[in-house]
Amino acid sequence: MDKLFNSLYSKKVMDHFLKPRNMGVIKDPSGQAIVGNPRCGDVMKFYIKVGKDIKKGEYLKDVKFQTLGCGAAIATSSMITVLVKGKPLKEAEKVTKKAIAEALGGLPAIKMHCSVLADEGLKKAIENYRKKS
Amino acid sequence: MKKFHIITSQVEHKAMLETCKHLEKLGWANVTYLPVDKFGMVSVTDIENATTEHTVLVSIMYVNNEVGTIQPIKEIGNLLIKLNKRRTVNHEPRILFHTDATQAIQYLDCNVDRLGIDFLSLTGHKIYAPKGVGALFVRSGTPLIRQMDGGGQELKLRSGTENVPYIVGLGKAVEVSAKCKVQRVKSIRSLQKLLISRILQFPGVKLTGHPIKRAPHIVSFVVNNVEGEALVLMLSAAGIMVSTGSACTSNSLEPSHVLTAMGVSAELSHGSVRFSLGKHTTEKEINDAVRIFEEIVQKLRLMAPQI
Repeated sequence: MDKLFNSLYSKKVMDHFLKPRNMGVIKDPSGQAIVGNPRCGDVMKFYIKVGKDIKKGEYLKDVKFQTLGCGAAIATSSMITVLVKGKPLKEAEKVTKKAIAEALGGLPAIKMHCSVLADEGLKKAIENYRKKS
Repeated sequence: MKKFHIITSQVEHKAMLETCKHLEKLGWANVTYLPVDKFGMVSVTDIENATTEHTVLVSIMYVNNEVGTIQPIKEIGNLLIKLNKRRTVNHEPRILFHTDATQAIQYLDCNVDRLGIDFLSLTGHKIYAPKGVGALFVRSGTPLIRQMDGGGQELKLRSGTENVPYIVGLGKAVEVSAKCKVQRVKSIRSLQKLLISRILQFPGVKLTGHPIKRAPHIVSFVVNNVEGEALVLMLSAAGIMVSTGSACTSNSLEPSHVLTAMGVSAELSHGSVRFSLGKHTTEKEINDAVRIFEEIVQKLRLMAPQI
């Protein structure tokens, strides 16, 4: 593996980048949102399926993403889905960029904006669901 | 103080661009950064039109390091010889010609007399010499002030104890590369043709740089709907080393200044990739690289949302 990138990204980032979790599309999602734009180089799309549970209330039964972007953009998209899957909506929308970066073992300072995009994308997908329901 | 005028291009290496910016900041020089065409080529007419009575230097790289385009060095040399004849009569300063031949030295004609060059710079690490050693050819009689003060080494131009093993290594590398230049250009050129023709068969891929006037060892593309850093990382994990001009890999988060100057959109620049070939590259490696490249591009495109 290229040493330069090993030092740039943590092992966890590389793991989520090379083997992204929950990547794909939910057909007939409860909510979805697209954030970023191709000019900036990063575009993320989040799909959510909301379930209802007596204990948890409304929760994320399933989350999937599609991302066009750099290693950090793909890894943060993957990590946020892991962090929020199965969580009540109220908890899921509180996930911060800092929490995503920490769960990934840290991100280079210049790449922090990628995780800003991931938490924004998920929040917007939840908003989209709320508007619909 | 009278300001000197320098003419260079927008696609030079940062080593040149940052130096020019520094001279501007010090208030010593006005600099013209000439635009290039869609292939990354400077126009000789633009150079002629940009000269003023204060012009003292034209600095144009021989081969662009990102896209491989060969600049019209001989034509620029001829132009300056013509202009300088007239300037001598008018008592105007002679315009000196510098070329950064880093990417050209082992493949192209670098005969400074034939090309009309006053200064030619080159580096060791592109020609299998040690890293950290380079050379500047200075035509004798060319006015040049010292770069640093000290013990007066290197004809009093660059003080500091010489690193003899590195200098010998660089000399030997130049000698070896000159000896096998013709053969090496031929074999690398045929691998380059193979790589370009194979990769251009993929949908959504475009060659960057000049289709014919390009150095044999540089192959560069833009791939749509793929981000360059992700491509570099995945290829690297598969054992293929390439580079990209994607904004995501730069400290400024700006796309490649070379591709931007060529009119490539920011969207496409994100998906730029450069392969470098060398004396050890084999046909099998090219075929493997093409196969892996195709797989990874498909994988990344599947990961991207449809907009």
